[in-house]
Amino acid sequence: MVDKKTDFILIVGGGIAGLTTSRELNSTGITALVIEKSPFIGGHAVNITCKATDRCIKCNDCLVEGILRDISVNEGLCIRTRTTLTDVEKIGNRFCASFSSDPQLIDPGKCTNCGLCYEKCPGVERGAIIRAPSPNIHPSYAIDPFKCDHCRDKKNRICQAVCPEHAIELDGEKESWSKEVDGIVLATGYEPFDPEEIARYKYSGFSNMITGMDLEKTLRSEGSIVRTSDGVQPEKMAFVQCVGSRDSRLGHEFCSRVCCGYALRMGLRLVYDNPEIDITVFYMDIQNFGKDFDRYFQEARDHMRFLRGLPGDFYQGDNDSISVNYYNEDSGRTISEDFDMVVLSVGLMPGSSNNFFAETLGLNVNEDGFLEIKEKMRDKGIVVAGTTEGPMDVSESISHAKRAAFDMSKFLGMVSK
Amino acid sequence: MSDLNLKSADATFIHELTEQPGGEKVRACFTCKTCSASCPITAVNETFNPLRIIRLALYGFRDQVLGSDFIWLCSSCYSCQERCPQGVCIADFMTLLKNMAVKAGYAPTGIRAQKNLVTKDGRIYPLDDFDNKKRKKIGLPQLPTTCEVVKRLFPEE
Amino acid sequence: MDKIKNSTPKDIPVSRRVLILGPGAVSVFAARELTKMGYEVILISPSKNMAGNPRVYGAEKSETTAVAPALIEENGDDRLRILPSTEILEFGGYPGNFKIKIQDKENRDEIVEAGAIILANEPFLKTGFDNWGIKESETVRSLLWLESALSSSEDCFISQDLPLKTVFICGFKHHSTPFSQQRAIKAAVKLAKEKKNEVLFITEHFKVAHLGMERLTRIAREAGVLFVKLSETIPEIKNKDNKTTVIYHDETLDQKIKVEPDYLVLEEAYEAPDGNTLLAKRLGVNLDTNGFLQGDNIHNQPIYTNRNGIWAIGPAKGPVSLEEGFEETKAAVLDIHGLVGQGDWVEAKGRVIFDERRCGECLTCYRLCPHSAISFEARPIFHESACRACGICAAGCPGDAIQIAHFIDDEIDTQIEDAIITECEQKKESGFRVIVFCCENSAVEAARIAAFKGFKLPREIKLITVPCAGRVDLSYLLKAFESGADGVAVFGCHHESCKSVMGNTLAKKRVELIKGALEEAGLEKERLFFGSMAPGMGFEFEKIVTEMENTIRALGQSPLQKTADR
Ligand SMILES: Cc1cc2nc3c(=O)[nH]c(=O)nc-3n(C[C@H](O)[C@H](O)[C@H](O)COP(=O)(O)OP(=O)(O)OC[C@H]3O[C@@H](n4cnc5c(N)ncnc54)[C@H](O)[C@@H]3O)c2cc1C
Ligand code: SF4
Ligand code: SF4
Repeated sequence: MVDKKTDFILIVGGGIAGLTTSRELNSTGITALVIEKSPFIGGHAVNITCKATDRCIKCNDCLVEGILRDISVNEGLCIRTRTTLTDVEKIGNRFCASFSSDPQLIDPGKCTNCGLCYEKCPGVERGAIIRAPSPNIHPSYAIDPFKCDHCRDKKNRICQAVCPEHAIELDGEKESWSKEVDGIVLATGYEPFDPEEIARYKYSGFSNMITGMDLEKTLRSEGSIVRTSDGVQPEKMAFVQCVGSRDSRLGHEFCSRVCCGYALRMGLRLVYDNPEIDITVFYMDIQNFGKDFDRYFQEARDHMRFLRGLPGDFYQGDNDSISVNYYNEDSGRTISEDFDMVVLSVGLMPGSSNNFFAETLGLNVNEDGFLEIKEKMRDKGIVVAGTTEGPMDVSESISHAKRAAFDMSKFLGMVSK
Repeated sequence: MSDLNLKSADATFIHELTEQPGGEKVRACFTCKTCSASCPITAVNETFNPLRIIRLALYGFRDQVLGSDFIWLCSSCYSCQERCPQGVCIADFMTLLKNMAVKAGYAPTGIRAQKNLVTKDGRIYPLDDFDNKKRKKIGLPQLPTTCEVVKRLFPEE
Repeated sequence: MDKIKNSTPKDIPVSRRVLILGPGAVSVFAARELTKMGYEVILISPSKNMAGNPRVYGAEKSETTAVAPALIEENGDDRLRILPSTEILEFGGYPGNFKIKIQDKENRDEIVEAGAIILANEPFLKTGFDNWGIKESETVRSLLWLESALSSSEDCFISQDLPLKTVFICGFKHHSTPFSQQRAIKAAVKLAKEKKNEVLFITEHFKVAHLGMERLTRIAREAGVLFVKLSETIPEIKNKDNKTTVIYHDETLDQKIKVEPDYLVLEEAYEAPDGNTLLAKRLGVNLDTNGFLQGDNIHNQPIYTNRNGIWAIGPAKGPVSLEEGFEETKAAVLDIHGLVGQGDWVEAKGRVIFDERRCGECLTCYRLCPHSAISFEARPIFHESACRACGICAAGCPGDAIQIAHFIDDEIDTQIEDAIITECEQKKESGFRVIVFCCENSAVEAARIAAFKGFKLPREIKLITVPCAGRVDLSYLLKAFESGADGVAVFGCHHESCKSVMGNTLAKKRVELIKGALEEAGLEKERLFFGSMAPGMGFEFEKIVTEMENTIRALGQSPLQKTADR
């Protein structure tokens, strides 16, 4: 990698916020390097599904694709996947950042996304080659060295042989490297809440209990949802809101903002696909989210059952259904009702790297665990973009990231005269 | 139930409650209903409902809370307390209410009879000579049929 | 098309002046950021007060006053003009070069030029008395009144004997927001803590989707504020002889509760400013269903409007926090810097190709253009900075005088012919042929996603890309049938999602029109149809295509094709 003398910005995290920041910086003439720890760029947002019914319900999914398209045609951008930041040192006005990169295996410069490797690999089933969630991610395929036969025991190299562009190199090694940069954008995002942390959900105990993220992914890749246990379309579903959010016992005294929006919109999508489906939403309070949300809420009320209050316990019901205990206002009793599937609307939790950044860069983590960047740090060339700072949806992450780009270019003296 | 008028509520009740062990956190409740939803008694008896008691207490309906028998239905299983996302000590709160009810003279007859037994004999199940005879038969040591120490725990009424 | 010429100038000089519509802290902040960067700024507000109302953001006065007056003081700076009580009368020109006629209270008008516009006007706080059919009185108050009473020294909340009872009502007759609730809850805490009031807070939902709100509601509960949430019913308010009664159905107790408060406090609704409707019309900007200056179209997210060069930020789009407003300001300023920062704009891509000889000066293009990118001086002038190359003008032009680069009529015609005739001949294929005109913004994407997921497009179906469904000319549809297509479809965006506002609607209309013509010509009208889809919906694309395939297969070959074969 060539070390440019002027204005080089490091963006940690290739989610929608990191990518937007790099696009914006690039258009201001500032070179940025995005590092992403996973094999694909796009972060969590590329897993969310378009929730359009017979009209667009503004879930922001297409904004994500729009950014990915911009990125894929923008040649000035520099992206390194499978890379993490291991250390940062301050050297004068600049930073020296150290990285660790797993081998890329597929050369993005050569790959044409023809998909032949994916077609021919005998290990696709167990995930030796994985396909990106969107065709707008380049390369759209990635080899998982831990699941690849060749990488494990130097057996056959089918993909390498089959790739017409000679883009695959299976002998790559882990690499440690470092680079001097002028500023750092932290865009490492959030972690969806892991429901295993709350014992009463027994999340791993039920095959037909999934998280909102699971449902997003499935709807995105399959277009519809079936029960894991028997492959049958659910007729009766429950959404449980605020899973992991608004829980002071867990130390999560915040609302995740997006879950009401995504649950209701996915619900509307499911109702559109199957008007017979029976959906119940267990909620405490509904948060407006996004433009025109009130209209969707009204519509959702016409098609779904809204029950105020969270359920108590969950038990195995007949035929792999899940028996949900909840307090029933009419009878004044707690009752059990069977649902074919239960969706836990998990919240947005602080990213796992936040504490590392706080320590290495001397930043603050707020009461909820999200990164807080004070004016002072901004003036030293550290800014934060997207959900690293707190729960927000895609549209907000985009404007938040544009703001980060603005602050950064201002720090570099690019936009002010 | 008839309508409730907040005029008849007693605002000092909640202050009393929050100052005593078990009542400190009851105000944190945000009515998520998890407690009622996980209460095994609410599943079989519609008169008992932990959230309802909390709400009545918050409103300050002292007599309705202390005078009703539903606080006595709580089995102290701690299911609710274990699950409350706000960390309200609901089961402990029930214990507090029971104590206050007794003090206010609201204890139901059954409970009062039990209390009398304990005061008198030191036990809820009184022992008599017949029991000691049986114990002797199977080689167990004899037990006193009264327990003076316990009596001292209860102040004279 | 030999002598066609590109009517777009190469370098467009642009104005480095920005017009900002206030009032409010966000508009003032935007003015300050821009002036600091060396831009000229005209900050206008229809009201006299430029600083706006900090309550809009749920903020205390002290938090925002720091921003506004400081700037208004800086007004000595000749780069900044602050014009209170000023309205936009007329609006014209193009991104980079807008011409705006403004008028002050004394009816003096003036035409100013600006390269870009930022809309940042604040919602106004509407008291709720009318909604509840009651009047403001000594015991029935607005939240605004309470806030100022609480900050004044006179004390009307402490009574000698019993603690006073205050009831807050938030929402029910309007949509409550995190910002109004933040204010209400803060006031409630003050009453409970400092004034030892008994406070009852009745609402539909806790609006906690804002930093610190969840915590605030807990703090309030612990301070003694009693919250009541109603989902099915609304409270009943009676006010007679200065005595207020509130009756509501407590859902946790399943009982009616009656309370006679000393104060009843009603939260205000955050409504779009009255002037928005007229302003939107003048600016050519779409309103959302609540009357704010950003249409409900996903392409406007996060800070755009349907017009290039006009940004809608923060409060102009609806209730926001101050931080969000400032964030969006920076985002917009970054964009504006890209548009007019250099003083000229060189992005002339020549996307519109105009053939003067064919122009009948009928003004159709001028009227149709959803982006207001066409002006008319004897002949149309196309303004690149406003144009989004949707081709709606081209489709509407009766003389075919307008072409969109990469989507020239001739090219499309060739694609139609190739799809039906050439390919069939080459492969010596028979069977049916369907042509689908796909909007670049939706159907093309959906098709790509479907293909990525492994969907194989039936070989009888040919896709032709168009920049917008609104580009599909009547003649394309006719040409397709004439060439022997057995089925023709136009795939565009869903209702309200067209990047060009009405491209999909126009396409749908044209399809209906041709359907009529088909029937007259003896063709089944099912051979033609309009499909709408979201760009992310690969599955929807697959479904629609399969349905269409089945329909046409069942109908068999078009009678026109048989004639063509002969
Ligand atoms: C179930 C669910 C449904 C949702 N649905 C919607 C919806 O319908 N509409 C909507 O607008 N929003 C939705 N959201 C919210 C949306 O996902 C977020 O707004 C968005 O993804 C935020 O993007 P981001 O870039 O800030 O963070 P992320 O998407 O989390 O991206 C962060 C990136 O940084 C990488 N990274 C993390 N740590 C490191 C490190 N140390 N080094 C290098 N890279 C690192 C991660 O791999 C990731 O790629 C939903 C969220 C959830 C949980
Ligand atoms: S957005 Fe809704 S579901 Fe999510 S934490 Fe907030 S209130 Fe709960
Ligand atoms: S579980 Fe806790 S917060 Fe929820 S209703 Fe019961 S006491 Fe209140």
